[in-house]
Amino acid sequence: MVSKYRFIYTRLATVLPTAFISLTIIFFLLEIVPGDTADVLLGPGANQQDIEFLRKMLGLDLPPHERYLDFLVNVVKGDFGISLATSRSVNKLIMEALPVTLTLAVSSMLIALLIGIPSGIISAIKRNTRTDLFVSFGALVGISVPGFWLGMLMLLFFAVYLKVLPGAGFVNPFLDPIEGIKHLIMPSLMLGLILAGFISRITRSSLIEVMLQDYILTARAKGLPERIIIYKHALKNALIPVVTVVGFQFGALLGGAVIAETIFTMSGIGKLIYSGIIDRDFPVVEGVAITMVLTFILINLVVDLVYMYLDPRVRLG
Amino acid sequence: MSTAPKKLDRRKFLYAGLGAAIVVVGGLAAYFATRPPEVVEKTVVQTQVQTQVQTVEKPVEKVITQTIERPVERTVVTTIAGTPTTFVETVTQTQVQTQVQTVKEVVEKTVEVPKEIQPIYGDIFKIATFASPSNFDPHVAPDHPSLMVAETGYEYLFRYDQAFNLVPCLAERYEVSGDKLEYTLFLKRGVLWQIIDRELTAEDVAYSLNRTQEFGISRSFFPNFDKAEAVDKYTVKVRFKQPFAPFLFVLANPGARGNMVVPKLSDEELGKVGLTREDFTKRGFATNMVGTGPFMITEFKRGEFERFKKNTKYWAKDEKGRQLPYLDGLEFIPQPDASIRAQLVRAGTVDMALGIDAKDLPIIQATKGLRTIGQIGTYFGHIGMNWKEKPFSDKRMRQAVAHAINKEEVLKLALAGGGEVAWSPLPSWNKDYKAFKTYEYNPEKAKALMKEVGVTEITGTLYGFTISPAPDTMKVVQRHLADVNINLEIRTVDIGTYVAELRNRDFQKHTITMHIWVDKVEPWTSLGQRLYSPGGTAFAEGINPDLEATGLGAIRDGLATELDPAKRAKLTEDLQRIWVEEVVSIPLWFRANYWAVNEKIKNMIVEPQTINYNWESIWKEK
Amino acid sequence: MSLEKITATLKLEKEGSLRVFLKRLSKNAKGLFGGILLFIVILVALLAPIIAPYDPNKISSEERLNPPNLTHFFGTDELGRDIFSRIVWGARISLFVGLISVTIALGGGLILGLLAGYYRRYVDEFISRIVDILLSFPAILLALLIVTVLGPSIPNIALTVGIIYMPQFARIVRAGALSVREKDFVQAAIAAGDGDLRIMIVEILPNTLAPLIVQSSITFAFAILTEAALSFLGLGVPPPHPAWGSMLYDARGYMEIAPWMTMFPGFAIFLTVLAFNMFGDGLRDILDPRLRID
Repeated sequence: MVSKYRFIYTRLATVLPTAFISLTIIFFLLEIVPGDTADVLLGPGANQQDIEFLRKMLGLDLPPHERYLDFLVNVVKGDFGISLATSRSVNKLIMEALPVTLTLAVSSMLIALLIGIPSGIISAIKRNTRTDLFVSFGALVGISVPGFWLGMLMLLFFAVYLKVLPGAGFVNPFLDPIEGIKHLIMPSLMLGLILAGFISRITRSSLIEVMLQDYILTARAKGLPERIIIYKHALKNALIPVVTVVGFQFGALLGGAVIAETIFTMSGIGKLIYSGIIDRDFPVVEGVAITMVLTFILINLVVDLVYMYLDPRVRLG
Repeated sequence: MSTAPKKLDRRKFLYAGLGAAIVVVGGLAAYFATRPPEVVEKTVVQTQVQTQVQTVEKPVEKVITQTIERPVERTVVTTIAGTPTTFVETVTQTQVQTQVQTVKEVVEKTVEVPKEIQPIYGDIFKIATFASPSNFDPHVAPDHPSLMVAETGYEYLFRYDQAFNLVPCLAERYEVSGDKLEYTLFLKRGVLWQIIDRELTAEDVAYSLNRTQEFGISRSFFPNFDKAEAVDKYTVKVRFKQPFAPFLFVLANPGARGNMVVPKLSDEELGKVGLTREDFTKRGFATNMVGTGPFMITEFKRGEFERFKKNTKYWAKDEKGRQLPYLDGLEFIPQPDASIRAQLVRAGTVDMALGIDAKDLPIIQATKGLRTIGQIGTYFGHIGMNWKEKPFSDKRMRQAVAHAINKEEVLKLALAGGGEVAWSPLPSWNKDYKAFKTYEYNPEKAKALMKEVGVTEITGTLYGFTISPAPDTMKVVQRHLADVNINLEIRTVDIGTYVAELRNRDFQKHTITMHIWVDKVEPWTSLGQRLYSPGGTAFAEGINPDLEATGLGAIRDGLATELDPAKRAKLTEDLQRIWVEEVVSIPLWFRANYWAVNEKIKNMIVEPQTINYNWESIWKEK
Repeated sequence: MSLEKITATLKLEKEGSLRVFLKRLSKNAKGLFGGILLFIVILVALLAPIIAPYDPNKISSEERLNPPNLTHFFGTDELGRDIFSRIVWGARISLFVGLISVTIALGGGLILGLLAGYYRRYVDEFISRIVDILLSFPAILLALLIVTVLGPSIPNIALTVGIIYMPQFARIVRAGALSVREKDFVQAAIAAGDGDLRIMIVEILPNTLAPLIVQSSITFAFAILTEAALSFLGLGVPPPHPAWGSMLYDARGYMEIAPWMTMFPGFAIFLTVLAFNMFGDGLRDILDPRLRID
């Protein structure tokens, strides 16, 4: 098992350069984007002196390389600085947003997996039957529904018509389980159902593919029961692409839930980075982006380790 | 293959698939098709009447009547005490009748309002707002959400009532010297600061007024300011280098920065607030609010909520001597999407939603327990052309564009009728408003003018930002201009890019620009102040009038110094006339602000700039 | 082994011309149905000027929010524009965005994935980190940055969506390439001294096709939906162009007042997504002889 540890070490060694490179890229990308925080806060119709005053106050009148160096020094100290648009500590903003995002990502992924994988398996086993058709059709509906549309429809239905679920806000389910779950249902369904369609399709096609591999045919020839063939031999291999998808979709959920967060008025990482870009608030964008890159590298590491477990033949370099 | 699945009749798949699709779509269709007409029909003659009696020192009655027939055709009659204003558009005969009826109803209902209403203490008032604040320091806060939050905790020296008369707030009265250079303000006694628990003194007010000069953002609202000094504990003297006519009005005008009073904190007091001197020098009151107002912020999560609790030591009492405020607290829930705000108030998640679209009014009025309030506001949509370059440097070309746009249709389509057509850069409720219908819709005339200039076709871009209703307005304007052979590609960008490109004067990029401003009540504050910086974003591109040749520069200076009301009115009229005649910009609409409010919320008064709520005297029924 | 069969099939198809392919397609119900549906959508897009009864951008204050009727089959929207005409013209934009973005994502993903999976070690490590960075940047961050820098236009949006989905393709190809790389026939080809490029294209690429086809058809759907999502963030197809996604976005406030405004663009998206997915499934079945039912 030496190789496994070496693999983890080498991977961890790449974390710093990766973080540094992405930090630099984002900084200079943000420099190209027209406008700065002063423009956004003062808005249309502002007068020139006001804008110049605000830029000076926010330190935006310094040349980019100076601000970049300042920022790097801060990051090394573990401090992403002060948000330009809100005058609050970026670290604090991220710490406030992370629980929302993590809870939302985990609950949506759970929904997606609980619906997606079983339905994919059923669909694959009963390939080309009515059940398959029904499940596949459902999965396609899931895939072709725009998230914001589903979200707004649910809001209308559950919050306005039925008045059973709260329409806005986030309550930590670990502190208040009932309220917390009530607040989570709609946003995680909105994200989870669409993902479920995706996962169901990947599971189905992957399982069908594996079921036709020679070793499964051999196992069949040996007369092993179908159930054991599927769950013991086929499924493990079939899940490899599913793990890949779950890996990057989880990453996408961490930063990409901005629409769900907007519709259901929760402030997670997605909304933080979105408002960061809209406000040209580069400490926030940088801080969130680095957090995301690090989290993602970590998730990747886990995904690769799962690969090794599922398919020992995959050697990792 | 023995293990291959059974062979199936494929046609059945096809039919089953199609069948399922039809069932799903049909089901959805049936569900939707049966619902909405019901709602719309109900509201054809739906009338919304409410009567409010303001309690604190400014007993003004306000009546708003709306007659609505479909979201498109709408009539608003707003009677603000003192200045009755009527907006009527596309009124069919049947509508006029309903209008008369509603007026009668109003009278009855006004009588019905019992004087002995008992305010109810307690409860939290939840409001769906537009966005989170960026900065709690009222002298620096640049954006509307920040000012709205600041208004709960900070107070002005004066306020104005609904007829736009000054009424006292932290200052009880004032005196002006003969040369109009010195103002003496006499403060209210016994006003306590939140958190630090000491009395408001003249030192604080002087500090606060002088502080505006430290920040460019507030400084521009106090031109010619010399300094403020404390004479004794409750008297402040404010000196100007030259007369500044709108001074008292700027003190009372929400949205004019720098007019809220902040305390002068000693080191010890800073400690109580939780700040060090170093923090304070760097960031001021950016994250900590210390005001004299009725509420104090307790919790804040950007993009999710701002929570306030009541200031138990608030100075004001109601007319029966009861302690204000009535509410235990406030909660703002920032939600940028107007449709979602409307849904939140219908779901009961919030008690009030700001900024409801006109199209959602019938649905909200059909909801039990909800009412709507509407008023033309200060949100001003207009388009501008570049004065410095051909062809729009020629006045006739600008007139041609003005003739080519059908403003009524713009209002009807882009705003669903929720607002008024603008014939001046000021809204019609402004007491100095004059309509100048100099360039009415006339595409033939527009073409003739273009021919005169020698231009047959223009191609270019129509530039604006992505926030509603700018894109819809641009879609309609684009079509109108296409009719006279001005073919524009629409380019919408986010606010940051929009402002930056205007600031960098990217003349080549944009032929015509869509502007939206939030105007203010007083003409100098609203328009004159913008004319100080023809280099600023508002005037960088598109609108860039020659201040000397048009005489706008002189009017601006006149408005800043002229104290005689009659002469001010004349100046304001000239300003509007020149603005329209020279086509500084083409005024399109003033949007109406609509609030959806739970009927349990009582005694709420709204203000055109949507900031200044009477938080202290609102209560919520059980 | 199985792979030879596939390569053989591919070769056979190359030689055996379109007829063989069509014949197989005609036997595959799903593929056929998807193909026909797709053909119709493409036809509608191509013939938009003939099919659409009105100018898709013609506004009218008299015909605002009309429910579906004989003059306006799908009703009119909040600006009085004919929804049927907008959907017909929107087919062009949505197909364009979908196709261009899938092409970019697929092309970029294939190059990155094959290089990483074939050369492994440092190349893999380098490419994987790039892909990691791309993947870990929230898609919105990328989209916002690209669109704000390049400006909102239809090709830029297609490019943006393509770049967003490229890393996913790269990963899938890499994973496939990594496992195939170990197989005997690849080792044999290397031993035989075949060129790297040849091995990548002839030996490795076909083996990653099946998941790629599924991924492509799903990505096509996602591309249309991402365009809709970008509208929600103010970065969609610039007005007044009638893209399905932005039509759906514009209709979000009218779910109760004018449900036809959401229903028809939604249905158009669904049908097209369905077509692509069924066609994709069919294609995979045809290309992979093991999966043929008959």
